[in-house]
Amino acid sequence: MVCINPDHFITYPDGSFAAAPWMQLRQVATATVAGKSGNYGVSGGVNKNELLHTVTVAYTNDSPVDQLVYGLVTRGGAQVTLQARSRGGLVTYHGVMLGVGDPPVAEVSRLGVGGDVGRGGILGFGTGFCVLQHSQSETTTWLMPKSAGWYLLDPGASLTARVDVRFVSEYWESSAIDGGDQGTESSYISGDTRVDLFAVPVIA
Amino acid sequence: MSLKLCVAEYMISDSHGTGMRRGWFPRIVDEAFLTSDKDGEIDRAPDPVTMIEGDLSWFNATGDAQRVTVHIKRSSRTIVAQNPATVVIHDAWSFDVGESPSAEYPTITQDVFGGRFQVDRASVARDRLQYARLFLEGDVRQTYVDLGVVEPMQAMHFRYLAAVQTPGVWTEATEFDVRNEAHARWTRLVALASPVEH
Repeated sequence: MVCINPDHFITYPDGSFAAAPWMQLRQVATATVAGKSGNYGVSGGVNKNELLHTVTVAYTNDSPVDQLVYGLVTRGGAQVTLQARSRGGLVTYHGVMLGVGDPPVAEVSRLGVGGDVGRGGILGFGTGFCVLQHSQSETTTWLMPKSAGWYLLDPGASLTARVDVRFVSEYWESSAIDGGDQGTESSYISGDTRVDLFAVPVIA
Repeated sequence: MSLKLCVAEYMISDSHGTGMRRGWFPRIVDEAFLTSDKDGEIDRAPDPVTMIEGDLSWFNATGDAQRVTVHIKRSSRTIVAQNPATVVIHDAWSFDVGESPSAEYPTITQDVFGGRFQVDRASVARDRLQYARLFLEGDVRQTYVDLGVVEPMQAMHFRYLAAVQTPGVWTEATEFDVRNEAHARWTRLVALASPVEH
């Protein structure tokens, strides 16, 4: 009979044993929210602040060993297309709290665009025709990139992570465009948003 | 000679001692560095034209189930788009897991880098176009693709594709030189394997 630490190894009825799965770096939780796209009217309208995705994922340390937890946030391909003078884009917010709940979120990343074509002066009402489009490929970033370190969870402790994506405009052109609305565009495509949590055992 | 113990998954016990098998440790099992062979000036491309192509494969001979993730690292990308054109670089991938897997040709979806700076409507004639160019540079970007579990004696096959396209309006100016460019540079694929929680 071998003397083993039951917190680190699992013994099976046939007498064999193996390292417990919580003794290795591994993915412990994942959640994905499907992508979304939308169009806004190009003339008239007001500033936008529209919630597109919310992803919430939680993990409870169900092992007998302390665990250090970190997260990765994967944003699918995204695209912002705006007519002249409108400025805005997709803003990503992250939040993490210890325990189970609804963490407050703060802005961490943006993808946007904005442009104008020569028009100004006292009689420079409205604007000329112009469409700017900015597309960004799928990208993975750290959850909470501004904070240092990973989250330490004692056995039985929980962590909740939340990621929001909003379409936010800084300025929305509402006057008429030279030649009318034909061919103009104000739209977005926001790909899938995925949050993965990983855990690493800590031996004190 | 050491004592042989009765061990289960991810462990080994033989005359050299008792320890963890290779499959217990997260590690790189295959990788590829792929470069673009189409960088530079481009012409009209209503259908995507391949810039970078490559694949990864790995056979699980560890004796234990493995979770496989592919890490895709892409270089900074550059496009130049002349009014009224759109220039985009697509990224796409596909994979298959099983016995003798063969991933299908990747389908272009909405994973795109690029843009447009359009100051004339589609109806404007070639000799009446205004002059406007968009220069867009993007950072190095990475993403992770989860392939799921590869059982012992099974394999995975992963295919990657980067392609340039000029969707939508394309009018070539006659009164000045037109410049449309796309640079995809390189992509590195890394396949990582790690143990599966049973």
